[in-house]
Amino acid sequence: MSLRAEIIALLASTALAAFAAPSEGALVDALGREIKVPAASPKRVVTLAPSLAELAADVLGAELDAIVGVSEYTDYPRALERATKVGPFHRFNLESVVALKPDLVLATADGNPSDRVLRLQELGLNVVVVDTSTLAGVEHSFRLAGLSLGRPKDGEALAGRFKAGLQAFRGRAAARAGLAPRVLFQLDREPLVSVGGGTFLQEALSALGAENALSDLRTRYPRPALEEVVRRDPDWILILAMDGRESGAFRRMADDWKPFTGMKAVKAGQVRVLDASELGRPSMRLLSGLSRLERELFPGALP
Amino acid sequence: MRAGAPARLAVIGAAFGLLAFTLSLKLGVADHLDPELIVQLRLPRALLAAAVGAGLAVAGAALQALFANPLCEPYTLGISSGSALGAVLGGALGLAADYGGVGLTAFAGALVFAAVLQLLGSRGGFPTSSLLLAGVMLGFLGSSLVALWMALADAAGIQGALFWLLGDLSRARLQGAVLTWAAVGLLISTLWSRWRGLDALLLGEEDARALGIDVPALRKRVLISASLLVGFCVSSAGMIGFVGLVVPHFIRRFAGSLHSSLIPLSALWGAAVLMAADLGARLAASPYELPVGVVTALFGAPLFLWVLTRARGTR
Repeated sequence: MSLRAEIIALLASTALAAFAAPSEGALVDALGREIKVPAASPKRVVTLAPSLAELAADVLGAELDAIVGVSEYTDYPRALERATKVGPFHRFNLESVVALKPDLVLATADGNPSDRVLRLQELGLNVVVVDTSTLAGVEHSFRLAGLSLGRPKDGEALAGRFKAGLQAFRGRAAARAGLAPRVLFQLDREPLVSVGGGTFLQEALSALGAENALSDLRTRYPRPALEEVVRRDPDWILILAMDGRESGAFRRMADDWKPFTGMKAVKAGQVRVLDASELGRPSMRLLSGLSRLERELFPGALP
Repeated sequence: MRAGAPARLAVIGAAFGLLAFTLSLKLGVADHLDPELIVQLRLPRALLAAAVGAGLAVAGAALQALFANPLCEPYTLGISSGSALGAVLGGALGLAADYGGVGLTAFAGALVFAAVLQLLGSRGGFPTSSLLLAGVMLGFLGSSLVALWMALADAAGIQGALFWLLGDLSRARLQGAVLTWAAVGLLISTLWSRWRGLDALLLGEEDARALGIDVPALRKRVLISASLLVGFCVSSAGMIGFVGLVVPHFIRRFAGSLHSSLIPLSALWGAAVLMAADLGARLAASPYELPVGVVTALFGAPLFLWVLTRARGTR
């Protein structure tokens, strides 16, 4: 039922599978199955989250025609808008996926409902599940996608690029040592939805040398009481403007904080709306999102 | 009511059910007919919808008679809240969302709530009306605990729970649907076999006793059967509202209140209505799926209001 529980179940199965010990150096997906290079490259791929479409597109390069089905809100790369929609990631339509007769389904443990993903597997489809809830998981997902799409070298290269990109951010963060602003990410108002520990967004903040104001909360997307936020008094309140919603709503979220003149973020004018169309996607575009976040948090501290 | 009305209603119901069943198998998101798609996805769903619809309608009919209250429905006694609570707990424990995992905890939740109710009811001198109130209170308790979990849970997890709370047939699997059919069929026949007692209750508890009906024994049997019915239905398909309240009333309007025909007709129409509603839920906003409980209420409420006014006009 709860997404967290689903992910715990997925992780538990991963842990169990670790005992089954796949051969040395083998790559394992979030369901604990060893992923091998297929005899023939998949020709009909379905991706069950926007970030997974980006992942597959990065691996496939020019051969985007192999992606036949995508989840709702998949908007990058633009060429994928012609692919059949199989519903939103948190509730994709089983029948739409099966009807596309895919030879590879890419799913994520960080958002897709596990019972439906397992159902696809029961129906005999080739399902590969990545877990992008950590930055290491995102890096690993490039390798898994490369393997399962029959292009292990491309996957490895992308994983390397992602890792090097993160490394650059971490290097600059080390140079800014001592400067560790505490940031509250806001996703929604009434109720206030934020970002807690155990998320790639939290890791993204620490890669920049910043701190998540709610890092001690185990809930991944908690709804803290307003008073709790005032008590924690973060240096920044960043409202993440995910795509697909009018900007007025985000503006209003920022205005909500104006009366709290005692808060550091309000005093310093550090309640901002941040375009998070890239930051919200655990894929290669996360690096561009990180740059945007870095420019916002540390203006002038950039080369 | 004219003579022959139950028979006519049975024929129309059977035709409606057959049509809904055929269309459920034929129509879907995919525009081509794929045998695998039909057997693996559409058939289990249609079967489960029929079983759950029949079970809820019969549970509603029996409880309305037992409590002599037209507002009674399968969820009034709070057993479904116990089931919801069980499902939420199962999910929080990290169990798989299928029959062996969350389905089992949901059923256990229903049993616990039903047992509490049964314990209260078996105490001497506990009037039936108080039993109804006790059930309503248990329901509040269960749903407030579910709400408590929702307030503390991950925002992302609520979406799934919300769908479950509004009814969700998408988890149907063939074995599970067959199991639900067997259980629901058995329980419906148990209730049907008590039609004489249920008819006598229409006259009131005192008169039923005068007619030689052992009211406490009947109450116990109806309560247990209805609780198990609700437990099976809710644990396999979530809380699908409306079918259990309205289908029995609809049948009474056209075929009278005698339970020898009311119970099988409720089963037949309940099955047909829920299959049709699930078809609508699958197709109306494709590729999104609507919660089936929303469809049953959205179409059912106006339709029933129309039946109510129409019946008054002809009287």
